[in-house]
Amino acid sequence: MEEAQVLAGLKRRKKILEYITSYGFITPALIILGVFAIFPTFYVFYLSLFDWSMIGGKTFIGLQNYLNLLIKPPYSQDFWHAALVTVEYVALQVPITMALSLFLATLLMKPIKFRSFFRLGIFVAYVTPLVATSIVWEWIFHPDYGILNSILKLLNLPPSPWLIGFPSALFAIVIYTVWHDLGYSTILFMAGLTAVSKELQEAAQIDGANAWGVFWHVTWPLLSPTTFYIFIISLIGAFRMFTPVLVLTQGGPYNSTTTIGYMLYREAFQYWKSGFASSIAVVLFGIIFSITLIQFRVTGRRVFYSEGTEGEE
Amino acid sequence: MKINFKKSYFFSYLILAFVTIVMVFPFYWMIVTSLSKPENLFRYPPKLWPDFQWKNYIDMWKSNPQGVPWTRYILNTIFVATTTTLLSLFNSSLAGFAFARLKFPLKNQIFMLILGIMMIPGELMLIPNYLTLYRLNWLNSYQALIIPFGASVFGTFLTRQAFKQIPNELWEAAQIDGCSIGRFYFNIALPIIKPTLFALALFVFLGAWNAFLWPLIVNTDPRFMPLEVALYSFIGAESTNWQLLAAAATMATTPVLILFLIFQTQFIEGISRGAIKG
Repeated sequence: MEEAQVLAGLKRRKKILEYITSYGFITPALIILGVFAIFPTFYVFYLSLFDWSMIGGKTFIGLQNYLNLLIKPPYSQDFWHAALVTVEYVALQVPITMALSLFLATLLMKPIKFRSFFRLGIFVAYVTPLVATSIVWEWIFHPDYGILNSILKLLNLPPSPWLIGFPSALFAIVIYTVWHDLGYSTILFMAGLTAVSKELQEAAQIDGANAWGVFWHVTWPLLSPTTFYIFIISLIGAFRMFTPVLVLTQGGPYNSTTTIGYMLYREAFQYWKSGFASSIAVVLFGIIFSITLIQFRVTGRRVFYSEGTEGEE
Repeated sequence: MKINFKKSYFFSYLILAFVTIVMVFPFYWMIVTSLSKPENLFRYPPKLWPDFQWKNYIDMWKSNPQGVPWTRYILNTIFVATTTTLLSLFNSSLAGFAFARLKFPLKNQIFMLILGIMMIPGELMLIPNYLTLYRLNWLNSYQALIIPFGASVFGTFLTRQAFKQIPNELWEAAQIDGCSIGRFYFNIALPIIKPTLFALALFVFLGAWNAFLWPLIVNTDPRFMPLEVALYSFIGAESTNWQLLAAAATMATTPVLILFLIFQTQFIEGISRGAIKG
């Protein structure tokens, strides 16, 4: 009897010790994530209710920032223009990147030689710093001396002003970001294709389907979860894009490359209209959150898009 | 049939070779530009071969953007990237271990809360975090670049998955032998999940090396700027000296390229694994 009591007491002490240790283990991460991720998420909603210039005094104005942003000119004109630019960018960048990377991934899945060499070459741009590679592309896009226009001239095609022209500046940014991100989605597609059953593909081949038939009737349907996943993370990435804008065009010419993300940066850290910028952040969050919810509804999976963007925020 | 296959392979090679050249060309062009004589930069047709004018690198190195030598920027980046990686790995794996192997009240709720952070884009936190740093008097400091990234949700998630794979028998045997939780974590569990830790370290290090926006905002004092931000100010100052800009870009890109070439398998596997698990 007594022995059992002692044993129970020991067990309880062990349990309590495990609780204390556990909290000791999670506390450092919880403090950092709490201060720099959880708290700011709520705080930004609060800040968006004020007319406030970062370091000066705050005036409570309720939903006025949102009204200005969404319906009251002239601010709302800026915002809807930026929204339109963002949608144009997304509509160009996402399909191009996806189609190209799917095509390259299917090529890379074949039992060809130098496969890892090709994969390396296609992927390498993704790991390089944005500012450094932007410099190179700015030079490539140079209207008078850039190599891109030299090539166009060689092919007897008309040159383009690229980054300093409208609408060519947006195309130039699309080209740069496709170049930078192509390898990432190619790797993801390759991972998806690896999971697609070889037997089914071979069975279809034996049944007389040609390469396109196999792809269209077997590979593509089986790949659709991967495709959807890549579509969602590309969409979210594209909606958030703005470092290339900052480095390559500063939103110009004539705001033709001012995305929502760049507008947020400019209002917050160049004009110091922090309350107003907070409301842009909330709206951008709303857009991205809706996309995530759609993804969640469709596949029941969360999108882990914070991977690889560490330090980028 | 066979001829058909070979033909399609030929085109595969052709397309892949073409795409690879296009993808790698900007790096080649960066190096050519960085080694060109200024007068050869503006020629038509362009000169595709470098002049090997190493003087450009010396000029770039001596330029001291914003009055601070490049050495300082490079050391800033190395220091910040290394400490961020160590801190983030330590904190994330501690939390990952607790979530994987220990029992405590509110465990699942706290884990869901942390996972929820993944749905929030960094832009949302930009302004409040700037304000927090301002209030802490941390603007223009190293901790501004390190502490906010000292724990990661992705790292916690990834290490939790890895710790879960450690067989239960090992954990029980260690407990019977009187091994404390802390010792088990440090001496047994951490060494077992080394491959995961290594892949995570690569991604955190790369992220910290390439970080731009956050350091641009929080550190306006050149003494605490990392290389990427210094490079950004260098663009403004040397907007016409393309050979110097290219030399600086080469300097910022080369360490990343070397790191990537050495550890390409881990990088690529890390990304594919993240996608499947995600």
